[in-house]
Amino acid sequence: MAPHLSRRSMLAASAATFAPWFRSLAAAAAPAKAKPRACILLWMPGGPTQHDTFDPGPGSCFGSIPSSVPGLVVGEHLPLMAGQMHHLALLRTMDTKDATHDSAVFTLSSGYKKGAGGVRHPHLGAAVAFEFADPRAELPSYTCLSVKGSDVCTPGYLGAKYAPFVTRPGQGVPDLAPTAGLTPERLADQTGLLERLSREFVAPRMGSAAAAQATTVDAAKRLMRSTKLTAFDLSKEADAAHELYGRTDFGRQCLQARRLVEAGVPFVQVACSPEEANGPGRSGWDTHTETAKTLKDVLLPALDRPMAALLSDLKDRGLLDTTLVVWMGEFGRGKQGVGHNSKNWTAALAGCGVKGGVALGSSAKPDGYRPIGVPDLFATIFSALGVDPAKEHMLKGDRPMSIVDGGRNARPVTDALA
Amino acid sequence: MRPWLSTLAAVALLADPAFAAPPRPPAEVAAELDREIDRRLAEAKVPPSPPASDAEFLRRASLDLTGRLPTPERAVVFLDSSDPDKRGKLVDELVDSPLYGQRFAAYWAELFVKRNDTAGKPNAAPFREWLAGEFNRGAGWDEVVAAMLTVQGDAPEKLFLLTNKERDIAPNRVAGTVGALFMGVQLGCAECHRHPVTKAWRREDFWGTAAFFARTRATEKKDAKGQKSVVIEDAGESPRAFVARPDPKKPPPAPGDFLPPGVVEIPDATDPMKRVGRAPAVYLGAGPADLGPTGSHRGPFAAWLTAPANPFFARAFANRTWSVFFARGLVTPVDDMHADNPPSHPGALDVLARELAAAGFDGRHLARSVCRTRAYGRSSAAAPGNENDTTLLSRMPVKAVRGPALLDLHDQVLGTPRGSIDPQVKVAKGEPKPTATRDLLDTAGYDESPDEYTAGVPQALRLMNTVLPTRTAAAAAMIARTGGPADKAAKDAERSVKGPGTAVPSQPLPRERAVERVYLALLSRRPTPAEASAVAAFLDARPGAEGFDGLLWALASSPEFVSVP
Repeated sequence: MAPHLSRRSMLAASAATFAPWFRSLAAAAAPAKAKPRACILLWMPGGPTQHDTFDPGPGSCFGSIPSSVPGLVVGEHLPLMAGQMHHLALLRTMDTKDATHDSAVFTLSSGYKKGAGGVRHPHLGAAVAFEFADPRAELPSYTCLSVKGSDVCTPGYLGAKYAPFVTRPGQGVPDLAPTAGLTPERLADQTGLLERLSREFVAPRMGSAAAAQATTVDAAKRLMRSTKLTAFDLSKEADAAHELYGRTDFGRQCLQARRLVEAGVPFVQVACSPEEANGPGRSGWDTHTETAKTLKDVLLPALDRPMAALLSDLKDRGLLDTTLVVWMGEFGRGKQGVGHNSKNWTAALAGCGVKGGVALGSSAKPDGYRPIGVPDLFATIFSALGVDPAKEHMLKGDRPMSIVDGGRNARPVTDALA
Repeated sequence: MRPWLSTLAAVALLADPAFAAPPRPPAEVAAELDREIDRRLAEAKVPPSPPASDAEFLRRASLDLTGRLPTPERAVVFLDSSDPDKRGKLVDELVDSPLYGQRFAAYWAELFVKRNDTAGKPNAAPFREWLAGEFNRGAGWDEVVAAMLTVQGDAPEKLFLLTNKERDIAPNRVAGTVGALFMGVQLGCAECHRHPVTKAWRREDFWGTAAFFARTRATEKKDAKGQKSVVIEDAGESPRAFVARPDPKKPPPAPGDFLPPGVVEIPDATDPMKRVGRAPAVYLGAGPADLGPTGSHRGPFAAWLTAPANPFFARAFANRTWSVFFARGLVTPVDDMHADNPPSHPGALDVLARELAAAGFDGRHLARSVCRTRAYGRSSAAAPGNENDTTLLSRMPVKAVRGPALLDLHDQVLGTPRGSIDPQVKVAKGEPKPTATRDLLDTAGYDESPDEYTAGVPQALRLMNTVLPTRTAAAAAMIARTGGPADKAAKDAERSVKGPGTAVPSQPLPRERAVERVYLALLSRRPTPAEASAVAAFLDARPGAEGFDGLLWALASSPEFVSVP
């Protein structure tokens, strides 16, 4: 059952949860497609079970319930998500050939095996930031709101300009305020001196590393002064919003993600990894003991409300047409949620470029759809974002590197694309 | 074209009688290098920048050769000297300093660790110490590389092989690393396919190189006291399934799973569990190796690689050494030397390779020669007409002092103890600790050009708001009190003079002198008159330590401070 809700927030929640049936009809009639501009990655560290989330069947610990899509059932402990399934395309035949956490986390985060071809491949977030970042933007183009999974949030060959800001919901940008007795007034004063003393060295060295440093310091100062920093302030949200998303860690992350996307941030990563699931040191969905109990009591409730709230809220604010939401972990699980499983697990997409209410294949009947490899998934993600999956970056030594492993050989899942 | 024609020229060169000759004096080598560089500039009608100022040269040579800044005292002596050969003598002094070995040991250790960052972060400290000692005693690069390739047991040079470890030493990783770093070739491309541009190297060449390392093992052992360590040894046979197994539960190899000595199987490029052929050990371009059933196969490989007649070894090291000083190799990328990617200055590369072999592969001879060229001594400021030149060496590229090295410079000039950057913060359960500063600032990837600025806004914010404010205050207080230098040695001296509980009255320097010392300590130069008056105006408004705190902050945050000019 859903946790206790106040009357007011129940209204807000139910409006958000059920109204989209009507709104989606209106959206279908809308002509021009909006330009994609953001992506939120809902990362499920440890490898979430598909059987009690979006692919119920013989492997489930629990029953299933009907959803907003006729004929599509979801795990019975996702009652709020059941109302949002018309937004989701479910890729249920993920086939990623790697069931080891560390290596699979990198592969599913970047689309390449770590170090493949001797290259440092960028995380999806850096790749999206590269595509969508506005050079004049004040806010960081790539923000990671959970430490879980942040160790693979590398900009790789794209360079530090696309490195993530790793922070926590409501905590703002790290190192934003001067410390150790340095007041903002004194800092402003000192940066004036810095500018004065930098000129003679930089002027005849335009385009050099020295000029790049000066530009970076300017960008840092711009961020410190930005009025858009309120996007990091969760206290600006009404109680109803906090109730809608839930006052949990993942709820706050999702609410923070929505605020950032609304303020123009192109990529936000959040992670659902309630510590009470497995204790410290173990990733949230990596249940090896008491799987059913942990799913029912901790993991599924932790996921259900925030994810449903995020989808409905993005929709209500008109942001879902320009924002892609990706739900996945590094792999799925075996029957009854036991053991790692890199075959026939489920990744879910919603939002821009995605055909909602679609379920492709199922782990119970895997032949129902073709196996979807990592390159196929990334080709699908980039296609949904309006980026050609065959696009190449030119690396040192004129070495072309496609953003998706295999370039044109990767096959986007067109059945999931609008 | 057959792949090996291109190397015949190099082999012919090695037969040159000059190879048997002793190395020439660095000044003579430098003059020969400059002749080609200047001729190319004249042909292209690109004007060279004027010579660097003494201060620019001092800072550049000090950072390039030792990774450290000159003390204010050393800077004054150099700047005020009228010796016409003072730059050459400075280069000799820096190369002869023990810091020289440490600087290049850190350079190579970083390359090894970062090239294969999947191997985790093995402790590189003993390796750096060993390598610094080797460089400082003048050990040849041939000797050093052979030691790294043939290491047995728990010696510090094992780090090289350990950075190429997956579940065990991965022969394919070793082959890729040896190709890139010791041979200057992208042999790694041929792991999965022919090199796309040269077509020179086939998969058999890559795997034939890997074959020398197929029986090398890294095993965790306990000594009598129960102390664990990883030792390198050679197994008797090459098991068939040497590639890291995706499934650790699979049974270990059975006797029938062993291959003939010196042979590896070539895995399918898309499915590591499938095999598509076998590769016997080959010396790249020089035919198959005859390897016995027992003993290490690494020895014969190292002997072939590091021989003076090897067509790759000397040129790869010379080219890479050049790139340390000029931010790009004579061949660029530095690990892509082949016939279709010629050097910008072919004569210079020949000279350097020949001198290197003549000097017994002692890198110090190259450093002395390169740093004495007029090209190395030019300003990094553009001159009208050479703004767009990136290959002709008309001006010196500005190199970036990268994050962790920058923190070391802070320690040097602000007198802060090493490792004092991150305050101990208490965070609530489940909340992250802020990323450690050294990790946050370590933004450089593997083998980026030294002239690439790799930091971003998170790093800039950490430095300006968190790191520097905590580090400038103590130095500023001391300067305000004594006018003394922001220098660790002087700070230690002051502390020892003072002793516990005794107050030694010190005569504060006049303010202009104190400002000058700050400039000398941080930027290795005196302020220009315009800078001096801007600083004076700043300090007038902020008397005492606060003003010097601001000045230190501004100079340590400046583009000049984070640059090798």
